[in-house]
Amino acid sequence: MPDRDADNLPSLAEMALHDATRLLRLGLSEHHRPIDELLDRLLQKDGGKWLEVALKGGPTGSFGSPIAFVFEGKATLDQLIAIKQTSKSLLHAEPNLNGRLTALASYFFAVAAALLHHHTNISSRTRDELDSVLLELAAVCPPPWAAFLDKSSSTPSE
Amino acid sequence: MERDAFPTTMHTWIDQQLADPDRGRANINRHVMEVYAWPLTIYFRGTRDRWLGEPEEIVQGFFADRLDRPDFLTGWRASGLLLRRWLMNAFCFYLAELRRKHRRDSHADEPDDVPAVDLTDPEGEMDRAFVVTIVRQAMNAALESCADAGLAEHWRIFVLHHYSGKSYQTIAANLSITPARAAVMSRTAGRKFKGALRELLNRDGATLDGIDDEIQSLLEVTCHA
Repeated sequence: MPDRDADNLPSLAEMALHDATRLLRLGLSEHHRPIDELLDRLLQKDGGKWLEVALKGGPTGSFGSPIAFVFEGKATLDQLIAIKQTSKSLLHAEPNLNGRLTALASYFFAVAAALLHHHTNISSRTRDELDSVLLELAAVCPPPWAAFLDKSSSTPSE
Repeated sequence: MERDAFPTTMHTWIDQQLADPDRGRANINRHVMEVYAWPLTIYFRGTRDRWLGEPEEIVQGFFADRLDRPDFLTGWRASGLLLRRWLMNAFCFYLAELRRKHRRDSHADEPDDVPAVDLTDPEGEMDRAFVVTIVRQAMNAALESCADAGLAEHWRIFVLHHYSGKSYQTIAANLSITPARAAVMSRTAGRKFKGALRELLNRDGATLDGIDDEIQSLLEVTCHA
């Protein structure tokens, strides 16, 4: 198949029906992962602001500043495990979507902090699964969180 | 295919535009022309009416005549039809008007030497052109959205994989990243493409929970090309 320039789309007459059909199939709903809703929320225009509020107001804010405890690594491994557990409970108990998304963000940021600062995978996911999600989050998070998640995903763990 | 397209309480993008007295109408007209000009052109090229004029000019004449009518889109909303069906029906009426005008002006019947075209499935022809158009429109929207969000590289990977058919291994090797990372980046851009595509189908009249069915219907039509 020929190379196509991603920045210059084909004209209508140039685009083959079989190519369009293959791409049309991507529009179908698939199994919807909880993380997809978080990614969609972060992709909204106010996603960065929302994340800031979520990290301060959610379980990641329970020990103080998320920047200090999660980003800079001042949280102990036990504190991160506690954040992760609280987030997990909230994820099932929260009645509204915003609360569930806040819990989900706290969950993954605590897990990422444990990887980056303590080289420990505190989630039940495999590293491959976890790294994939962290990279997806990194792609839609504002700095400095994007770099934090990116770095976490490439940090080896025990 | 002609199912009830809108619950009466549903607020679509077109409803929102209709409620905007300043720019709403212009936004709708631009959208309709961008998305439906090509499908109608393809439809016209397959009819015996093509002696009436150049396809692009006929289609533009149709838009100029119908889109300025205040009741045109409200008529569509009341019809329950998909927008492309409504436009196709209106286009057929418009072609009939042009034929009558030709007879009146030239006192002549339509030419009988127009080669017959074996268009056994005009709706299908139009639907297939519609698929190409909305996919291209959605690609364009996703390209712009990715560029705005600093995700141009994500978009390139999406196109290389899903449009050019390159494997993530090949793409990743060229970009010095892992295949897993390439797949993740592609998924991020893919979400934007998917959102844009579903939005276009919603604007055509598919309900939000009926978009998958609409895609399946279009996939069936493309199989019969």
